[in-house]
Amino acid sequence: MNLFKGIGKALKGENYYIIIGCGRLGATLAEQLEAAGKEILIIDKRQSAFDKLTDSYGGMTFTGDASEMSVLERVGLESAEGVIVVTNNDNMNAMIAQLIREIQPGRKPRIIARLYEPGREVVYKELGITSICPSELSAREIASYLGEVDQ
Amino acid sequence: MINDRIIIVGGRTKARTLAQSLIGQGHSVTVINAVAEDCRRLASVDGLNIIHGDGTKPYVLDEAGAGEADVIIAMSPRDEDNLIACQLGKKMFGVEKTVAIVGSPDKVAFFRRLGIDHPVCAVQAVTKIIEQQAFLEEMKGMVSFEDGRVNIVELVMDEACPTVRKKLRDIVLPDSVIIGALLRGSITIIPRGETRLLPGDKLIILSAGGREIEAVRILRGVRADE
Repeated sequence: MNLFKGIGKALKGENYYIIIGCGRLGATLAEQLEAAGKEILIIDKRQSAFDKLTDSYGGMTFTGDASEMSVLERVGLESAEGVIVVTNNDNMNAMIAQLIREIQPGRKPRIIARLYEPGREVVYKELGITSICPSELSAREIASYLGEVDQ
Repeated sequence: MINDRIIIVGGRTKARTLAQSLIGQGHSVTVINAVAEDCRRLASVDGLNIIHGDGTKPYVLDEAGAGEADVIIAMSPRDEDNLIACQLGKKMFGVEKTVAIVGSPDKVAFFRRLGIDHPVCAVQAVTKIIEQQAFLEEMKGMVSFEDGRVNIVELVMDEACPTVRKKLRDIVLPDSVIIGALLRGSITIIPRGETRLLPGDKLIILSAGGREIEAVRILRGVRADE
């Protein structure tokens, strides 16, 4: 399955993207977006997290804590089309997403955050931050295989 | 006394001390803590309700009675958990007042803009107290509103003050500082420009923007032992 296909459509055409959290999802996304010609910066607190990236990854990495204002102010948020916040911690993602919107009010960059617990979405609903919930996506996908739910 | 329903999210020793104090004042207190061992320890506090769970999950807050709570105080060591617990309390359960501990001072304003009524930065608060303690023994009765946006301090005049026996209008204080009241023995005076400061006067100083120390320095002078 190509993760990039779905999200790529939403982000179409533009160039600089920031990914926060180099877990499995972050690393996979970074490689796919980069392979598709995007300029990618991936941020993680731990340098060793970047070991997940393969040799073919040609984007940038940045070691730092993205929940710190001083880090977020240095990564070129103003020129980013999108920021994808995928650390392994929901609350961290929700806080970072809101920090980014605070630093860059308005519609750009687009912000997408992963939330394992979809109920937490309410905290930033008005801020134009999109949530991705893995269990909801899986459920929808499985249901569509079974042909029980109209998309 | 107003009997509030208060939920405390996270915090170990601090939560315990705070819960005891709030219960002592007649409030109804529920603590949410994700660590079973901490919950067991908290169980020794009389009259405290304890929920074992993650206070940043909507259903846990619900179970703790967030729907009826008046105040949520989030005091975990992680800023993100405190932010989310308070935001959920406010936006999902309509809790009126939210208080969150903030670890990094540069996030205080951010928390406030995101709807946290009272972000409390422990580092800032302690630094402020030490600064005041170190500066003056005489500056007593400090009361802060909105995390120090407005402060009220007391200052007792003595003969060594450079401003003693001067009229208020001849004393130049910072813009955002006024002397709100003056206690002279058993008399309370609302001072005017013509009011003269006398030794033994207790000044009630109202200050915005953290300029009280500056004001006290002017009124009292900088002394050799400081």
